[in-house]
Amino acid sequence: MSSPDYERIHPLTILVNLERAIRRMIFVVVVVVINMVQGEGFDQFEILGAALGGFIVIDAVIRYFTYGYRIRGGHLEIKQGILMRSNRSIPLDRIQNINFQRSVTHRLTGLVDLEIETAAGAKAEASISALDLESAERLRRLLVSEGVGGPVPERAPDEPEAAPLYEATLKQLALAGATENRWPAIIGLLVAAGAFGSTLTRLITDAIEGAAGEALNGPRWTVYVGAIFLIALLGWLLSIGASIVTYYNFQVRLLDGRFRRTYGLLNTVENIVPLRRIQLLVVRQSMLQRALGYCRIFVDTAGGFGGGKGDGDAAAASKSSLISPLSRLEDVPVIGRIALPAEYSLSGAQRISPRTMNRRIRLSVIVGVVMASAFLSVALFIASLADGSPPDQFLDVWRWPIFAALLLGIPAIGTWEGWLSYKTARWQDQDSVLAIRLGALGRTAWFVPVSKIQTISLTENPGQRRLNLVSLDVTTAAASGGLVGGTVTIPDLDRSVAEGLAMSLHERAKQGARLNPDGF
Amino acid sequence: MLNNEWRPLAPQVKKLWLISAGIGAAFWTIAPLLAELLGFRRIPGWPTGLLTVVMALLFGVLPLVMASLKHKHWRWRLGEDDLAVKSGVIWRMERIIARARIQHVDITSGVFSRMLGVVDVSVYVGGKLTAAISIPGILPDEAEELRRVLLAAMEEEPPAAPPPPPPLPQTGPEPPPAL
Repeated sequence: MSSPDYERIHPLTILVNLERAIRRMIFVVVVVVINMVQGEGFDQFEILGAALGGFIVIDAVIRYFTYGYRIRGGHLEIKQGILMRSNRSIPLDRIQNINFQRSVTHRLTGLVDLEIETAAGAKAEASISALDLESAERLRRLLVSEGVGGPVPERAPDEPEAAPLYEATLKQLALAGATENRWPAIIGLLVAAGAFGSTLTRLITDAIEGAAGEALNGPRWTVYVGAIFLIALLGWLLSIGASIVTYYNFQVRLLDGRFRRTYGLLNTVENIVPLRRIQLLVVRQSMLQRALGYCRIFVDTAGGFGGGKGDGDAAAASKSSLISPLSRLEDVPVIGRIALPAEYSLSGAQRISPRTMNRRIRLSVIVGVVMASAFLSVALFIASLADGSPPDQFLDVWRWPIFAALLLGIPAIGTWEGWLSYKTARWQDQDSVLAIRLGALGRTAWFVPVSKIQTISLTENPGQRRLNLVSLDVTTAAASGGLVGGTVTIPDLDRSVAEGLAMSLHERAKQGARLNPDGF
Repeated sequence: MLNNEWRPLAPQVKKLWLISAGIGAAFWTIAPLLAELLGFRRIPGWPTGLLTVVMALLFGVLPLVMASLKHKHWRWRLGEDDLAVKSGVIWRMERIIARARIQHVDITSGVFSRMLGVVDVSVYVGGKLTAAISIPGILPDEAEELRRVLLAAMEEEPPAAPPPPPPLPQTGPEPPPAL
């Protein structure tokens, strides 16, 4: 059990751990519950459910008793575990930030999770779950060192808070949920629906038949189409609801050299981040948002922050952090000053080389030929088996049409996509900011402060080389963007343009490096 | 070293890459050969031996050729205040970093590298877990010298004045520039 000199977490953490475990195993829980409700009497599921429940409780209790933290000799030490013991020691002067996270359970019990961040590394260095609010505040003040993070400023009770840099209205959140690309989630919903097929289709057909009366003597497929449409509609409504609940009361305020972001209805999140950790600004638009003139605004930071569940699919994948779930495009310069040293705009931005279209067309022709030949080989192989099976009959009729469709269609689509991409790609080197905008349907714009650039790369694949095209990559200290991390690319520049730009950026970046080697 | 010229990798590296490509080549020749001799005919209609030849060419001869070409195309350069590398036969890449950004330098070598007497140099910048630049095979003395030069520059730099904090944006009305 805990050594006497280690601080304990709060006993009610057991409830928090229970909730977290249930949430992690939500899929299994749902399966068990549905099977119990269906009453098809599989006893093994009920036993499984009971066993799982038992394990969860035991695990939560063990965690409570074996978790401890203390501050000793300039280090924060955290120990946990019985079988797998872990003892982590973090030097106090490496700690840059403490973030608070609260779920519903936390708020009901008056607890909070602390996430401890240091300068390096892509996610929270450690987390303490959970403490009561008072202890958490006290610990936070103790941990955050002077100079870098700075102590959380005490606000006099009647001192007015600084006006927020950004504050989301309910309408904005609803619109954000309505215009986001939720296709992965919707498809997931459909797949899940398919998995529980029999029950769900029975429920739906009963509901539809009940509503439409006898009129449902039409072919079966209308039912399925109707069901898919309903599910898609449901998914869309859920998306709106989820956006409102996740980002409820989304606010970004500027403090002294830092900014503070809070949001959430059930799960609340609070991050305080030094401004200098911000490496670049990213503005994303889905197709619908672009049509309506809206966008989402992210910042990429060194060391990342707020990888909390609430940041959405784009953020989770890239460790970008959302500072506005929805804004009008015109508001970007104001909000964007949090990240950028100066004014910027994309007016008069330059295009990439038009030969990018040549390259894409060539590529799509190659892909078309390969896919068509592959399909043909498979089709002929099946024909050679000549066993009259359904695929064989289907292919007899459709073999050549599909071949033609692949051979001609893929290059056609590739040409159209290439032209569209060329038309929408823009970049601009504005002395202190490098701006890049890409995207045919949706659109993304990156704004990189030149002083924060760490590496500059020129790459060419064989297709580019023949056309004298080169892609330019820049990286910063940002931890986003998957494996490579924080790389921003201008594709398909003319070679001389790329080389000139690289040299020019490098000169300015070097100055930035001299003043601020870490970049944050 | 600090003469801003493009330097090649150590000649032993070519041997190293040829050896590992050769091992791959041997495998990809023998395995399909065995498969064919033992009677597995993967592709109907192909004469015996054709599969072996194809596999051997694709996965054996080609990597060998690439290995020797790759060595010819690898270059690195140490400048006054930057470090650059360029590499690649078919997919080419050229990368440059400012020396002021370098946080630390690792020198490592695997078993085969050690046998041939070369080391790998990995250069790290702030905020990342993977190396910004990796030089796969130079002589140990050269590597030590490179590391010394790169890190010495860091010590000599006068402590930089902390940058002035960025001006805080107003939240008042702002003439919106075109985006």
